Amino acid sequence: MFVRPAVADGVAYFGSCAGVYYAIDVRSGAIVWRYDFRPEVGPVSFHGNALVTEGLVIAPTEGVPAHVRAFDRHTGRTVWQRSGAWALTLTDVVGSGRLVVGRDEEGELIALTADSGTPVWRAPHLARRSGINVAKSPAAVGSDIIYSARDAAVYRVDGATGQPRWRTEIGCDVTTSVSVGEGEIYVGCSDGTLFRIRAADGAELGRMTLGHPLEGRLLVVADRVVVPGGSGWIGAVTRSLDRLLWERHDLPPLSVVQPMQWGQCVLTGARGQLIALSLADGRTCWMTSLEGSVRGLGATGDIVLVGTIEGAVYALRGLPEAPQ
Amino acid sequence: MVSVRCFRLVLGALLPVTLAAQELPRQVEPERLWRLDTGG
Repeated sequence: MFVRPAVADGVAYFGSCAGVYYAIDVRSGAIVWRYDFRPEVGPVSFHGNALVTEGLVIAPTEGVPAHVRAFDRHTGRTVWQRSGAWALTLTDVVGSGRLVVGRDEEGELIALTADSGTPVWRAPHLARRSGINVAKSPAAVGSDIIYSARDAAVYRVDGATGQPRWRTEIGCDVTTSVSVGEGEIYVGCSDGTLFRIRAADGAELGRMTLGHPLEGRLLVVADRVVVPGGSGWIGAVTRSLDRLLWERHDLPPLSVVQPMQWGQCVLTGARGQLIALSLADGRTCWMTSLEGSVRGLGATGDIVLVGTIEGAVYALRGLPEAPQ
Repeated sequence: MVSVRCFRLVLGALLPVTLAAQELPRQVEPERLWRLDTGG
């Protein structure tokens, strides 16, 4: 399980790299429903996070052809699906009013109606599939969409029409998510530069150079931004980007690209270990041993869901520092 | 009788071990509600 499982009404939704999509009762582990993509669609994997609406779970898949499927989240019945052009793939699916937005197989931003999967708009940009991975997931700000493109720029577009509101060139290859917090956008590059951009007009508010390539999803929490990097590096900086608060480079190679807040800690992981670091100072809060390399993390209430690269998914309860 | 030099050597050998033990992160054993093997 590479994704962050979507959880609604006590049921977790996620896909496995074996090509099966699951709805699991979080407390009991009972399978509510499952759908095997392989007979109809062929081998698929799931790297982008699904979107859960009131009645649907909309799951992007990664495979050939590109494919997206919207399930009735209670029964698992397919409500709509699309393959090839106009299929949401590679990255997260995010909501914008009555639309769902994500990337197509060329890496372009596309929008479909949530209830029927009808194509609505495509934002023409310089994206190329070779440069697109889950870190290039769009983010929603109100009904607008923020995303990075291959022209070393960050865009904000009207979620209803796809028309650009602003474009801000940052001049480097974006390798992190675009993460949003209180009217500000954070985005990082392979050269170690982290940017702070005003969501309203795209003005650059600051930048900071860290000594490591930045990879994965930035986590904006209160007054700080947790920044995952390559290898075993992870750090946290002030939201004003004027100070490095802490960094860890003594950890084993981290296999989690999407760190998750857990109370006053941030969860990450490596081969054989789920690791909690203090948001305040980066010290290790605790660790717990698991078989496999920790990859996808999710939580609901006092339960943490942990997916491994090898395919095991765990539900853990009783972890310290639980959210209040 | 243990000489002062020997005592220092023993203390010098033990102290880093003690400090290292204190710095080890806390290993916890949460309740495992369930495990699902998805096969990949």
